[in-house]
Amino acid sequence: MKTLKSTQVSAFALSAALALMSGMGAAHAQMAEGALGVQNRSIGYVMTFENRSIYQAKDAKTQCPVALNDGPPEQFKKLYPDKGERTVEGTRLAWEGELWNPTSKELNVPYYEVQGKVGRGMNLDGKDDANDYVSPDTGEKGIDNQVYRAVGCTFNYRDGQTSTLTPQWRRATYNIFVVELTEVDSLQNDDDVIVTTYRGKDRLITDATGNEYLPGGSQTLDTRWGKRYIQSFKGKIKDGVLTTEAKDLIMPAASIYAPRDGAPDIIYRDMRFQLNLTDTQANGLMGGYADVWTWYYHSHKTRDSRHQAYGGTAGPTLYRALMKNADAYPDKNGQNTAISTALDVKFVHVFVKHPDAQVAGVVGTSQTAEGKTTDTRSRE
Amino acid sequence: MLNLRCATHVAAAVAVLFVSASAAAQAQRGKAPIEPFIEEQLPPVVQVIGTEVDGPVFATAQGRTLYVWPENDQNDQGVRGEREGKPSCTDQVTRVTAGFHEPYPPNLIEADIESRPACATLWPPFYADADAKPVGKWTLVERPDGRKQWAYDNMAAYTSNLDKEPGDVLGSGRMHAAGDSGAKRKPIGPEADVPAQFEVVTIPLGRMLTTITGFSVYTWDRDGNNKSNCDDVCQQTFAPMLAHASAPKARGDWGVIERSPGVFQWTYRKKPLYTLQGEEQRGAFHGSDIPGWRNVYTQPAPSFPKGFTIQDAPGGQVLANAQGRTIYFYTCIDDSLDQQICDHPTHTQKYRQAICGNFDSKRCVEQFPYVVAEAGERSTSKIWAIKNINAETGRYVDEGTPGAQRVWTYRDRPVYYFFKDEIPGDTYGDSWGENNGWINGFHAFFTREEFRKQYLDTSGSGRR
Amino acid sequence: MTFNVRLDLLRGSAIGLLAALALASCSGPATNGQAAASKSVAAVAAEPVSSGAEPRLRLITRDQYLNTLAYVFGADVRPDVEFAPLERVDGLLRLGTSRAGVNDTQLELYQKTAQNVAASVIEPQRRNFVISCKPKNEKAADRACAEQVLSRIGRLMFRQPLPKDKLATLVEHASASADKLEDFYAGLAVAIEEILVSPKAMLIAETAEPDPKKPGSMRLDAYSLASRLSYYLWDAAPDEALLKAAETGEIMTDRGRAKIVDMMIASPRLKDGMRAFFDDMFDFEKMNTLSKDALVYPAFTGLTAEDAREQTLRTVVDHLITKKGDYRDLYTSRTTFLSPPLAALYQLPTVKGWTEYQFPENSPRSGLLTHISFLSAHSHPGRSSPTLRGKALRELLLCQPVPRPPANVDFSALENPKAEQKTQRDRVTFHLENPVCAGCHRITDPIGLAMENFDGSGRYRTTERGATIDASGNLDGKQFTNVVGLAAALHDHPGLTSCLVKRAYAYGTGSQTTNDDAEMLKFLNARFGAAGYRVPDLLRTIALSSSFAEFKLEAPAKDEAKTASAVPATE
Repeated sequence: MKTLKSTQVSAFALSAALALMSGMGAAHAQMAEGALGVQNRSIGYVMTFENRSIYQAKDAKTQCPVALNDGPPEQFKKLYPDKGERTVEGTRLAWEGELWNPTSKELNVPYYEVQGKVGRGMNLDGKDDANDYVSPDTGEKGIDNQVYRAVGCTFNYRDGQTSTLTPQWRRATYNIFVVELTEVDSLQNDDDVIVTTYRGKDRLITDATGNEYLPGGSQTLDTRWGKRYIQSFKGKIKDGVLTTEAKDLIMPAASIYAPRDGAPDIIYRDMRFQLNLTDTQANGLMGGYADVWTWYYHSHKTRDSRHQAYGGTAGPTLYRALMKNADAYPDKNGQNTAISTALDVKFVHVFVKHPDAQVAGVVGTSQTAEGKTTDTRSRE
Repeated sequence: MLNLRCATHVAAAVAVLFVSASAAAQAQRGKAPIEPFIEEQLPPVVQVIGTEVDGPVFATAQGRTLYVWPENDQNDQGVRGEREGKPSCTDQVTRVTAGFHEPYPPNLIEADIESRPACATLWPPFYADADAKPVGKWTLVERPDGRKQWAYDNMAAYTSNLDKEPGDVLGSGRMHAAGDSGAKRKPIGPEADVPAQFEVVTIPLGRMLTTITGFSVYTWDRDGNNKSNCDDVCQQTFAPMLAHASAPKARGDWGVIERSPGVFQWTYRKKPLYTLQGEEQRGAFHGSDIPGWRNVYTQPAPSFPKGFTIQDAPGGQVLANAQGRTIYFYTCIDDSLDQQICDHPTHTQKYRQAICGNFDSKRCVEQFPYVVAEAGERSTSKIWAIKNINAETGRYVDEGTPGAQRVWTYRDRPVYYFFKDEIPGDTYGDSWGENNGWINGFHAFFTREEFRKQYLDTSGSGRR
Repeated sequence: MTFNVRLDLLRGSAIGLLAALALASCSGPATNGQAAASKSVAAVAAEPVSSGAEPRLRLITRDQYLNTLAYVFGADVRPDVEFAPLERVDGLLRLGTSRAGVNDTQLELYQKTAQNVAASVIEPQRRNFVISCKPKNEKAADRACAEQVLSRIGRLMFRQPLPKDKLATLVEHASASADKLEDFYAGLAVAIEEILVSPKAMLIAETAEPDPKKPGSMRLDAYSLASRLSYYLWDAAPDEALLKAAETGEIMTDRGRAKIVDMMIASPRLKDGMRAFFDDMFDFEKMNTLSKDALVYPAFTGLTAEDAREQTLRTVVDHLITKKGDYRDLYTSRTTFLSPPLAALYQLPTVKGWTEYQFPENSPRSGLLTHISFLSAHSHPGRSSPTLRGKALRELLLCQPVPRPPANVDFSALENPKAEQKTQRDRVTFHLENPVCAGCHRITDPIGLAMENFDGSGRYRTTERGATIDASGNLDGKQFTNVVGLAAALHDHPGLTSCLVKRAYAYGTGSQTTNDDAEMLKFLNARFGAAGYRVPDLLRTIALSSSFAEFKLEAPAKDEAKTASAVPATE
């Protein structure tokens, strides 16, 4: 296909010109109503669901034979027992200090990691190492998902609030995550497509129940505030499955409660997509190495100790577990700074609008608000 | 009733360009500009004075800004603040925590207990003379010790020990009122004198005019004085703010023009007013992103220090230094019945030190370095000032003290950078701390929020 | 017809309002006037003599009331109030306003609303920009200031100057209350509330006087004419300019009236008036409660219904008023407006907010019939309905009433279709085969079936249950193969324009048209056609017609000879 494309550039240009002249098509060619597939060799999708890929065995005991992890109140009681006078400084602030500024100090509290060899995710490095997992679904070996090992025995990431709220992140306008596939000739097989990520500016369109997302919405791309989220990946489609190269990716991930609190971006190293494509949806996995620093602080800037207490997430021990299991991008001291992970993701089709592009059928050019004024105060 | 003479030094730094004609005239007469407000009956010991960013506030005869402390029980963690007519801020020192801040238990001994002040030391009650008489919304309430205290709307009034001069509004340093962050003291003042379709909100850029529903209001450079040039095409993007038939044709800064027979439009300082068609959320500024369109301020805030810049960030616009490095502020309220704030260099530093460096002052300064003022830099306003600080203790010191750093302060509190920010627009230190940073933590100094759906207010004074 | 209600005895009181409305609700439809003097076709060149439209006593509608409050006090004074539902008469709710009744509960609501509005008007943050004078002492009465304020508000709310004695009473009430409450503004609120709940405010009572130019004829008096024009064209009470024209008598001269009408048609407020008219004519009230089966039509939400109504009204106003287009072209035009929720249902790209949108030439969307509003409103919650759509087209757009189904009709064939009946056409064939049904369904189904390429939510489809949809049909003998053909046939149907004329005339005069109006309607149709079916021209013709403001009395009883009025102007 790649060869074909390069040799047919002029033919495409000619046919486009003819279409323009005949009035049948053009840069703004209008699509038939209800046609949601590839148009003008492009298709857009917006993310509607995202969760960390945490495999849960039917019997949690096989994964976490001792117990699930303690949360902040349980750790507090163990670390600062109610014996005599306790000070704010020696208890709460000591614990929060350790949460926000972790040290290598040994903490005298237990922490449990997932046991066993079964886990979901992607084989990121092409190897089958001792720490890798085997897929419960396909039997694929070599799955890299050390985040699963680090947090899989913490209630929040199993059935707790973190796992139930994360899928809702993408409702927040801060987090609208759009992928646009371009240079697409077929959603079934195409050796050479481009996948570009953006932040979208428009609300997701839901159905009459308010729970399901509808294909066929529109997303204007945020090329001003969301500039840092624009990243391109080379990809290919085989039998309807898109796979891409691995590249670094920044994802916006604000809490649904605090629309932008925490500048809550997570940086992923070597992120790649693996999505089943149709005209209306794209579902599958994203996998890569989460930057431990942004992953950890995102967790606590979007959910404070009070909320983390609902699901057993204790920052100081979590940080140690993440650092211990980090498996990529060592720093100058040899400490790995990134940890393998995978995301279960779902997207629905959207029409993508680039800020400067005319939308087919939309009449006139309304004034856009893409200026970069820094002081808009009237000088009257 | 209104003693403008007490406000003569206020807002001296407000750029003359921003000042209305009437305000400029006032300034020439030696009186500081003060935003028009709705007059109301005041006791003889209360006056209205202008401030740099908070609009007109009520103040004592000595010019000390008055505050109230309304209760907040949003989070099922117990009522914080005061109930109407029930002052509770006394000379008693609260020694232990109240248990407001989950998941932590009550009865922990407060930080720096030996030097912990009483509530009434931080917030001196606005006592009334024995022969004081209630007037208008001003009433008298009885304190637990039997003394009389002035109350506004039945809420007991206090001053702040941080306010030193008339026009200071330093008692409330936090920029946000978040639901879980406790009961904050709010400066009180009269209502802005604007038509009922409008209100004035306090944001970091000044006192900004909005619709009563909180949407931004705009003017257009291509309009003339008392003349709208916004035709049908223009009106597809901007909607004229329509006035009613009985609106006065001219009143102060306000006026009305007749766009077409029977269709009236508001003007402010002679410029016709509009809203952006389809502006989706309160607090958005999308109209002024379009060239020629501007937001409207009744009183712009003093300029930022010279060299400061505003940068686009993923969440909106942030204040930054000349190189684009984001600036942060710190906010803190403790877990006590008297809800003491702990974000000022005169307060306990334990909270800040825990969050910025796990009690390691070196780590604190590495992670949240102060915004140092360059040699020769001078402050041009009260709200942005330069102070000398001991970085290790976090306390202000006299100029010339060994180790003192000249740092920029906002509302008399130091501002900071964050060590992980690398490029303009990075805000990795935002919401750093307890409760998303709102009860003990750091926040980027946003001047515009794209996603919060409400206005940032600079002092907690909220809308008036 | 006269209403000898002594409103002056009841003035200012809610009881008065109730009594007046009770009587108003007893009034029947318009009485027959004299037959048209001329029936010759040639007469269309000049306005024929007609019986005219009598004065009416109508209950103000909710929107009219709110529009008036906004005009007088500001757009933010918008009480959350619902008025009692109106009866649809001859296709228009507007005609039901003269048959409305008010019960005690409703009355209490009016009173409460008036109280809230009055209280908000005198709030400190509003009074400076509403109350045009300052009292000498805020703690006491100030008669001069009260009189200045109340005369202005009363004039706008009553749509005519307050009689001296009424004004004096209001000032007295305001002053007495101010002294008693030691608050000028609180006293003023008492009198403002009295104005707001007065029958003079809540009822639009037209009065007439002998027409000096036409002995034996009556005409609306100046203030009644101002009101009729204003509610017709702006859906709001007359503004200062109109009242001034009434006060000076300018509005009663041909030239003055033409000037006023031209000003009103040129005003942006005409768009408000036309939105109200077409919302009424298209029976969009039903969009308030329109809902669909979420399992069948997941893309149709409450927001969709709201935006679908707005889409059509925007399209109508843009085409007819902004662009001054041919009314018939509304039914074939591919230009419309889209919002994101609607675009998702159409499955088309769009941008934030409302944007003008042009369907391509090969699109099946052609005109208002293919808007989601029409298609979804006239469907069942879980399926389309050729019958309802055909019936709506006949009744709403062609003014052709379709009889209701007989009481013993058997719906089982429709509700439990056979497996082989895959499309709606298969199922409704039953109608045409059954002689009991066929009579009516022949006039609805052949046109409704042409809209079958759109499901019950208005979304485009080419098949139903796997079978290709046949959207052919005919409209009164004109054959077509799909909805685009139906739209073209409707465009050229003479009933389309004559129906609009009939509705516009009835809406403006507030009276149901009768056979006596036939010549007048014929005249208006001819003028409408000659003007290229431009609606502003039609509005102007109607507003300037003699019959809009004049009428002939039936042989009057001696004691009624001098004046005819809906209510005596004694208040």
